[in-house]
Amino acid sequence: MIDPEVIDALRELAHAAHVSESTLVRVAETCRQVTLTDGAVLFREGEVTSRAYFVREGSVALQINAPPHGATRLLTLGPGELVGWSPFLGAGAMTATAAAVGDVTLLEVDAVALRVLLESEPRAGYEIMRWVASALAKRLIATRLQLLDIYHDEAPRIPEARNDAGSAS
Amino acid sequence: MTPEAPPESPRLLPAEHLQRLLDELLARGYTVIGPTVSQEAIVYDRITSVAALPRGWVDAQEPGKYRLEAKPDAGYFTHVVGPHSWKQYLFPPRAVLGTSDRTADGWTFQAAEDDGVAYAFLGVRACELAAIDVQDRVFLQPRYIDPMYAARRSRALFIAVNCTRAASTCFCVSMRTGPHCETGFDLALTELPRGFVIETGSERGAEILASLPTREVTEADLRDAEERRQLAVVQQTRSLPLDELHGLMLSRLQHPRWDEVSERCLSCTNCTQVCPTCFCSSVRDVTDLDGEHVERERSWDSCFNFDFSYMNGGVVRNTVRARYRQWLTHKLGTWFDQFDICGCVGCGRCVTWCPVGIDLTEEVAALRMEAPP
Amino acid sequence: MSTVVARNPWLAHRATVESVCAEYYGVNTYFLRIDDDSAIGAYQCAPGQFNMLYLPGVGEAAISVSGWDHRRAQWLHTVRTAGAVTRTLEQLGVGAPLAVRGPFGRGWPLDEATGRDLVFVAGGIGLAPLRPAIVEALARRDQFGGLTLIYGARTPDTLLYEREFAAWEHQGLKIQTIVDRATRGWLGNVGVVTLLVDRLRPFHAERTVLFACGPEVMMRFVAKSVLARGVPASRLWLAMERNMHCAAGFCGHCQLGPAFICKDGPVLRYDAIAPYLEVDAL
Repeated sequence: MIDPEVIDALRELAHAAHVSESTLVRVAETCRQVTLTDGAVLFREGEVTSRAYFVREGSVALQINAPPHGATRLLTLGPGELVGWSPFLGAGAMTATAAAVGDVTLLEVDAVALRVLLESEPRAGYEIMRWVASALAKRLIATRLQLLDIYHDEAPRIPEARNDAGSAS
Repeated sequence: MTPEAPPESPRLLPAEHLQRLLDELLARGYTVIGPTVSQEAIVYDRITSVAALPRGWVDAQEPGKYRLEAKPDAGYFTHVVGPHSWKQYLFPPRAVLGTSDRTADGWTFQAAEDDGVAYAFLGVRACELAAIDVQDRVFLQPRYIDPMYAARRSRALFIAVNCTRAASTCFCVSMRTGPHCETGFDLALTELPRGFVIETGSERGAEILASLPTREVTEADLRDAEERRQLAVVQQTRSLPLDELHGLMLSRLQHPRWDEVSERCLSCTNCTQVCPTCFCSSVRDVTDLDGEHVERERSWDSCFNFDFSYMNGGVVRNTVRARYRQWLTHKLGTWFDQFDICGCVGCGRCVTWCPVGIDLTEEVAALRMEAPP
Repeated sequence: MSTVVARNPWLAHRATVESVCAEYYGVNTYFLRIDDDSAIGAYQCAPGQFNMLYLPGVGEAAISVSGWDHRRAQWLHTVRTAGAVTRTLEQLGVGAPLAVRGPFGRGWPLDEATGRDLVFVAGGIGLAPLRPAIVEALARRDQFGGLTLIYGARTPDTLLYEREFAAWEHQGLKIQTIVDRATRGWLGNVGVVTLLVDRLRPFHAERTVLFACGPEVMMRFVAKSVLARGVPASRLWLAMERNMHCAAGFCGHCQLGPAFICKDGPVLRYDAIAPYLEVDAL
């Protein structure tokens, strides 16, 4: 009953997180593969949803509504990356809107079914949470680098009062 | 003068004829630089007479302390090294690299001209010869040479002196750079009360020796010279072992000792100025009032200066800790990678002239100890 | 690029700015021509090298060569206006009288990448020193496997050389861009440039060479991503930057550990400097 393609996909996604085969099979029971076209919305900011996703092929854009600038694209996610961690943590509303950029193939996770699994099987639950934690750690590091504003010195600026340091640039 | 076969080296130059050595150098067009007493220290300056030499003066040196004491039986060269080194002549503290002039056709650019001065350095110690060898590797490289250093160096004449005394801050023995002068000189002198045992190290030196009123050296002369040279060896109290020094420096970059020394270090740059191997410099433009004539000037700089590592709006080494660590790990560590030799020659100047008396031999000993967990 | 005979690094050639292209606010590309025709022939530059540009009365700045046009005997320098020299250069613009010393430094080792997949990773204005390597690689396209450019910038309007992307793609360079901050209407990738390194496919670690240039913190994290994908540290090359006065290894300013960025670099092999990059304020 479990789609072998789903298991293969999960195995590839979880490869670095050392998730055991038995746990992968249990997770596969809650997953299915979906294909979306350009612009299709995975979930909206503010929505409480029971679905999370892993990107297999293509790109998903995250955006936040930031008045007066409107919808602002924050991050684009690619193959192997997790989209939406709130369902895993049972943590209320989504904090961003996710939409497909071009055609996208995803692994959709039914988070309600998955949470039942996590509650009842501690070992599997531990492995899955470890997997999610490592995905979030990678996301955090990437976010920090965005926050560091590494190209800050190159930002176009309005001319300021001259403050001559006199050094070679 | 009838040509004679050059005398065998070594010879003995009687004490009263030292002025002849200076005269021969001056007659050959050299500008003679030697030790003199000035500002309560023994410094290098132009001399034409032996009367300018610091005969009868001896230096007492300790971390952060330098004093001259009058000792009637002290010779011309009983003192050891002071705050000056010969680098200020080969690599001047200020030098013009080139000039630019605004003309009707736009700006023209000229390289600096060599002034043609030939220096004769009188009183060069073994550690200083080693330091010049180090700076040769810095300024005369396979790909680039510094033209001013190259020109002055090729014309310079070295009258070395073997130390017969060591200051408490000397440690050339452990650095294997002295105190005996072995190579790199044109003439080398060892002072005895009756005169100088003088040996040649080059054809130029042999030619000058041939013109001096020397006599044959005796067994007693040689024995006395050897005994006096040995004093410089046994009087050394400090040491900085060379073994595995490079590896030590580069494996201790986060050692707590750097925090400790940075609380004492004033980042004043004295050490880099007196050090005979330090070579850092900066280049800036100096314009005249109407902006038509510009000189490109190179001047000594120091890795201890705050903005030495300024880049793109920030300073990379923005703490004293970072700057002291850079100085010491460069001098005793990465210098080996860059120039295949140690950057320190054991002269002890940095120890003497540090206002707070930081002793790098002590710092290295502290770094050798494993950091506490 | 190698000169056997030791030379005087202070010799300069008079040059003039013939045209200026404003890339975006505060960043310009200056097209220089060396005035002395006989000097032009002797001036050979390799991708990744830099010149010291001198404005009399103001000073010198170390600026990487972003390209050259042999037909017009022009050298291109893309530079951000930051200090006294670049500010004066921007104000004087066309006709600015300069003296050029150079070229200096070790450039991109394209020969290390022949027969392999070559990935250029650029951050911000870091694409400027990489540009000559891209142009050269495309000129001898068949000597390389895959050629890819991964390019991150702060915002879409600070992406350099976009006008050349179509031609480069046509000549066989795959280009992926990403910005830290999207502006309205940006439909491309958003995020830090290391994400594109993580996601790059197809990717054969055993035959990939990478040339990276950008802010130092970016290059450190690119290195982490590259190593995590199985590329040996000896196949990643970084273009480093430090304060320079002499450009010949004499003044001491540009040292990073044992390396003089001006003569051992600016392009350095990652494994040679990795231990020094991790140390604070070195």
